[in-house]
Amino acid sequence: MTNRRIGITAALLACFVAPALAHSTLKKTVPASGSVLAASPEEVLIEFNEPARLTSVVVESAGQEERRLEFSPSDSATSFTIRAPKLVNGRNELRWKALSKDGHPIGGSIILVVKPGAPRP
Amino acid sequence: MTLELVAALAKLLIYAAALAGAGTALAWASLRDALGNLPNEAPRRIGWSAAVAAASALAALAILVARLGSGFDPSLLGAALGGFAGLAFAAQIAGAALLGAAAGGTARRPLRLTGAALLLASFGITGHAAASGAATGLLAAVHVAAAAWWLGSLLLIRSACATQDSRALAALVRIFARAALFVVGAMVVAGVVVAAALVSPWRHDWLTPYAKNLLLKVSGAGAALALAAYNRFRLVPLLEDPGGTATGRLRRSVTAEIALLGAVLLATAWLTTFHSPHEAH
Repeated sequence: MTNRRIGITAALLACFVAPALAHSTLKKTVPASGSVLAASPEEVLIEFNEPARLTSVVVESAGQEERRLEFSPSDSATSFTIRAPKLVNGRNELRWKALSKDGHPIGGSIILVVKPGAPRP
Repeated sequence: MTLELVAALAKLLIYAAALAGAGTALAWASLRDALGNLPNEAPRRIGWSAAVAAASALAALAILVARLGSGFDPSLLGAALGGFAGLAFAAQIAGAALLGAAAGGTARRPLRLTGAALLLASFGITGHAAASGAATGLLAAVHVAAAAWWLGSLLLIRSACATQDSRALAALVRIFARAALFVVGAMVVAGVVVAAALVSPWRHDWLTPYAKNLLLKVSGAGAALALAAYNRFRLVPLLEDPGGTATGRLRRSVTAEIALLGAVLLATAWLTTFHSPHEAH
């Protein structure tokens, strides 16, 4: 192999070795996990660092049966909104699951505490 | 955790069946002149591998749906089958079906090779490498196809140890070794480029659990390559001695090489199920 061929091959390989795109991870939620709220929020925002497909959100609250929450959009997106989650007083755990861009299932929890009389953020 | 373990097991079965089945088809096509009348058992192996690959792909889909929600919901099936994941699943099922239907016979070789190509291409459609870009996805498919050919060739050579005389066996292994220089070389280059794209050494990514498991996989592949070199340069010349015991030694050594490749597949299934290239240190 000549030096020129080696150079061309190396240049082609270097094109492939671009920095890898980020794996789908939770970027932020609004309200943030761990927030203490005076009342149930009107909506909960879930934002990923890259497009993912949110597939399930359930809320588990003390003394309540597990409840599924509706969210939108239903397709792949970076940002999802849960409207009127109707969280009860006390600790609420919102467990979410999603399909990452690389085809892997990912998931996590958002803890929101509703405490009437708590200062508004 | 239990569901993740089952997912890893299903993945291991897909890897093993796809590489053994498609790899045997590729090796049979490329080494047919040196194989003589050996491939009698090749169609059976291809057929069984295709069946296991299809069943494992279906099981992996069911497990994915279970991991995406709480209870079954038809929309989860849509999510699992949508996008590139669905395309990869379709390629696996179609590839396995073609491979199984055309497992035997010379006339059905084009169909068999198409099935093998579809099955192996599925690994470049979705996953960590594919998520990084089309180029790394393509390289991942090349890496897997070359590994499949290697495994398929070893399975055929292992069978040949029982059916061929030592001179014919030596000729077969020499032809395999010449082709392996390029095919396994391509596997190594493609693997290194994909690994470099996923794990950036200059960002100290080698300290992550993903990178450590990747090194474990590379160690297994390195051991298999060392054993391959031993077979080629130490045992094959001994096959020329008609009264020797090199055939038995070669069979045992090839069996060990196949076992090492099996360990590499296990490490890959573990790596791709439990780790991400972008996890924290």
